[in-house]
Amino acid sequence: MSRFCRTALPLLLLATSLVGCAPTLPVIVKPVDCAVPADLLARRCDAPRPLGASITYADLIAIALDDRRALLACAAHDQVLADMIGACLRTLKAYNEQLVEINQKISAKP
Amino acid sequence: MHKLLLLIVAALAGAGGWYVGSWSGRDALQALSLAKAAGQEADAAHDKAQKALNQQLAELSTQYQTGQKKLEDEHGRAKAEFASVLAGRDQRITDLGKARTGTQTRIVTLQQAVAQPGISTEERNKLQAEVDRLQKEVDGQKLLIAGLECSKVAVPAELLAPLRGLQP
Repeated sequence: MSRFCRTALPLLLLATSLVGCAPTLPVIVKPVDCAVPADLLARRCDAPRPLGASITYADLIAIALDDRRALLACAAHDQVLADMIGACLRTLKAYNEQLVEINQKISAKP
Repeated sequence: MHKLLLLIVAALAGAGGWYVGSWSGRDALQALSLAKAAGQEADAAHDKAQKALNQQLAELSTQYQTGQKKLEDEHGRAKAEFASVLAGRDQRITDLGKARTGTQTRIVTLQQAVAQPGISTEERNKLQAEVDRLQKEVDGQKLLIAGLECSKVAVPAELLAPLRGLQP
């Protein structure tokens, strides 16, 4: 084998093998936005009504009535936020799983 | 001869390079096309997920607002009802007092009838049952009057102290 062949053949083989190292194109995806209404996030539970220096039993019932409303409103607010966060997490999980599938598809060499 | 061999090898190398180059380019184009399709698929998945999520959040928000409105309405009604009870409290106490007196008078009359010597056992039992029923009615009226009167009384400080301790 000539000196030319001894030099040229390995170079040709190396050049051919480099084709397998072609880079994978990354796909930049849009993030999912968990758009919980700002007013809902800003809302806070009402504090219990203060007890006056001298109050009657009727006053106490009136205060309990207001505190009960505040507690129910607070529980509903807490529940809706939990439901919204749950919905966001479920959506993100499903979306991320889809992205993993898509990435696996494009990572596979044709 | 040697030069001819070199020319042939050069031509073969050129052809090989062209083939490999075009094959590699085709591969890159395929990868690019796949990446583009994947990008579109990811976009579609994002739009679908975002739309569904926004809809869910909007529904939850609407349900919450409706619940809050209902709660406020019910609270308003409860306060009005309570105010009405307080406004009519004294009259109600008076009415209950009169009713209680009437019932007590009726009980005394029935007890006198029960004590009559000539009355049959069946009739006595019947009258006694009525006395018992009326007595329960009186007890209920007394309790109601006491409760309504109590609502006007100031809560003792020692009973309020534990509640005051829970204030923020």
